[in-house]
Amino acid sequence: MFRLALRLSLHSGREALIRLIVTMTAVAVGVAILLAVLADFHAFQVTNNRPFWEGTGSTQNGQLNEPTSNVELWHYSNDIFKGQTIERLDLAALGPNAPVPPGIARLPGSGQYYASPALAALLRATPPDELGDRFPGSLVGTIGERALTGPDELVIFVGYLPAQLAALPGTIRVSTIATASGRQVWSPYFRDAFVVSALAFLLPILILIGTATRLAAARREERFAALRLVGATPRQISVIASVDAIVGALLGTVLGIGIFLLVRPALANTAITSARYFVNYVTPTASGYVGILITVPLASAIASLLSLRRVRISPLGVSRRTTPPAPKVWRLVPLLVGIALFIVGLAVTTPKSLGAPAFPGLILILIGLVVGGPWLTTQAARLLARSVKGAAALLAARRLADNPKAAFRTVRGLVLAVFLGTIVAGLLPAVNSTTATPSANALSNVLLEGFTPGPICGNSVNCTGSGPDGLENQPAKQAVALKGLPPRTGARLVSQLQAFRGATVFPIYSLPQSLNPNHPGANNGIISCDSLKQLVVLGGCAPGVKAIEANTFNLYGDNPTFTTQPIAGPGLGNSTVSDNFTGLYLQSVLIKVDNPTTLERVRTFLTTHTPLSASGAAPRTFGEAVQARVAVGTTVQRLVFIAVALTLLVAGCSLAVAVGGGLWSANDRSACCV
Amino acid sequence: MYRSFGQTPALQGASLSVASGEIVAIMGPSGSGKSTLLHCLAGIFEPDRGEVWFEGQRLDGLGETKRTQLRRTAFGFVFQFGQLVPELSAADNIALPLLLNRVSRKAAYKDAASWLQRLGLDELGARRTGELSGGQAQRVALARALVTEPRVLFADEPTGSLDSLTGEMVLDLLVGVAREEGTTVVLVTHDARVAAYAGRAVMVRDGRVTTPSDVVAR
Repeated sequence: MFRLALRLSLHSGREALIRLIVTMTAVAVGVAILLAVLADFHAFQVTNNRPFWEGTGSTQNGQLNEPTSNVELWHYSNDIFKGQTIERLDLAALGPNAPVPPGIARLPGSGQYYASPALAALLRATPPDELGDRFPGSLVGTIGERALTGPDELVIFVGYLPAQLAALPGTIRVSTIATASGRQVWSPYFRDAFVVSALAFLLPILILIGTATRLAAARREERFAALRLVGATPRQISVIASVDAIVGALLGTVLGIGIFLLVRPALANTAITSARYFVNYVTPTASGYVGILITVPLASAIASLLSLRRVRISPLGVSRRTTPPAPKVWRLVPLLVGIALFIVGLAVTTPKSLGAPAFPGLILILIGLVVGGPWLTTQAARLLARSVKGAAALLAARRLADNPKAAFRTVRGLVLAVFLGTIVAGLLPAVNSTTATPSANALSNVLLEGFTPGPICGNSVNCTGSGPDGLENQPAKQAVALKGLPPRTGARLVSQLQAFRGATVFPIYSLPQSLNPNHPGANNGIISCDSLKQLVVLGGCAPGVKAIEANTFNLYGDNPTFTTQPIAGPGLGNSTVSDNFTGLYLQSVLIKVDNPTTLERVRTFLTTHTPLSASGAAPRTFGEAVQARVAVGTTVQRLVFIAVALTLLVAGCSLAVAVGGGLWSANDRSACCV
Repeated sequence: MYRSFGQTPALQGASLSVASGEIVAIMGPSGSGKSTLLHCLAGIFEPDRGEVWFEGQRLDGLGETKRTQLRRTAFGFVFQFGQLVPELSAADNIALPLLLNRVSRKAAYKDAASWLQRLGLDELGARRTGELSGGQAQRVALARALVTEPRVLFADEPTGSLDSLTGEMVLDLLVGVAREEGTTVVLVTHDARVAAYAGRAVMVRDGRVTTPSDVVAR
């Protein structure tokens, strides 16, 4: 029976060959796209699950530089260069068996560093006063893939003497490096968007495969009737139909795998999710390949058998079981519920997050469009039938109304793609615009460096760790942690920064204890009114006032929508204070720069001249903070646009196959069954 | 037998018995129920009421699988249209019932070749049936109907789409082979010239079988 079925599929002349080729091509397109998604998802998973060495916490008690054979000093921080985050790990071995971080063979000695390949290239191409001077010593090797999330990641491991590193706030003793996964490469929002996008276009792929499998189904069914006449049982017909579907789908799957392997290098080289993955990760797993090889032919066979169930194949011919009943109005329920949920989700959306009901709402709308489409088609067809005059249009309207499910089936992929495209095109620019506020733009070239504790942040919307702790027994560091740099150090830093050409410095001092006895820390500060005049979006002073209290709590966050709100001025209830800043701790500095080179020089200077800083956050401009947020939205937008483009491609193929198959059946019907 | 299609009655108490080896023509005007009668006799349709017996076995009570098996082993069919698979060659079409009956491929094609030769089609075995003339296609259909050595051959207007000369040739072959093989033939036609090939003719009118006086057995 299988041989007969194979013969019917493979050696039945030109028509069967063309049908096989069309089916194969359609399935191949679907499979290649599916594999590309699986490959990228696999790369995402492997990258996300790599050992999270950055999350290493203190694993050894004792004095910082007390020699121990298997312990090292560890200081993890972030830095920024031209908007890109640099992960920096400063290390000093306290004994011969100190643990070695992933990606290198041995610990760097004092005056040595290992850099990731991308950072090593950047160091070679950039003047030292803009980047290289931030890292003491010389490059002794590159960091391997095990420590990195991709080829573009900027990471550096710098070696120190224990005494040098012990002096830095936030240095800890480590005897075991974290190996568990857990790094948040993407925010959950980002990951959800990826999954939703992937799911959204899986449906059209399945529709394409189903349409291709049912190609010229009417003619095949008439062949089956001829076989029934000579004694083929319904079971034998099912076997023949399944083999026919499986052959086309299997060949198409193999072809699709071939296409995928051809485009894989280009895919791996494309930063679909904002950063490239390592090429060897951009591949489906072996089980992914096997799964595709099994499920696609199986799905085709099931689609073929389901299509057979809709007809009664008797020895005398084929008859439809029944005229399909008109779609009922209940089909609109998922769509309406989805729209309602989506509206509720939008209503509770805040600038920080999209309302929770919006996601299920969106998915329900997608499902609702597929379910409710036939009902809407019926209504449209009836309306058309009432309003048209020509015989051809009337006939078309009646045919649409007669079988709206079949009519809608050919266009539902396109409907979904257009819907998704519209949503993305409408929503994401609006989301991005809420971040890039006028005040954020006004401060785009202003660098902020705080000295009190803050989370370890590079130029990302997600910080990867908390700031330094365990300073209780170190009074000098504790004072820095509470108030910032000591007065003399702070004054020297401000004057050195003022010496930079193209840089204007605006210091913010901590309130003296006399003015702020109960709440020392970074919630309040003092800023000169001259500074505020040049940073008008941050507030202003009454005439004649020289200095004013500032509400600095929001200033050190990571969301530009809040960090660029006024910190002093009318309505905020700030007290005026003395403009004599002598003896005040330096809480932070704002530095306006006139070009990118000055920015990187100032940043390099800050990195090397503020060893006492207790902040884990790298100095960053407000413009970079906006850019980091916009980049997330842009990446999501890109992902969804890719999904929509692929969906349109797949849906277009589906429509072409359906229309082509229909015309072909109509033209060849006369040739059927001699 | 009684059989209706929706509200439309097709058979209304039709009764017919056919002896082994007999060639019977069922005649009647269009819509009289003659094709329905043939389909009920062949187990393609089940009568709404009444009984169909074949070699001591009641057919109308059999399940679809058993009736399919009978069609494959005991019955052969020659219809006016819709019986050959045009993508397959003439030899493939003839071998098809044997292959479905799990006869070995070699034996099936050997039998097919033998029937092709017997019906004067030995040059056309490799041709797809879509490329054959009407008369050639009907001869292939006849070969396919007879390759399983059926006890009964059901023919429904077998020459309806052929010119008279070709039709006569096909009927000569059909009747000749049936007589040689001892095959019972039930032949539906509205054409008295075709009915004349049968040993007996019956008339169907309004779903009932009558015996016409104007059809002379040859």
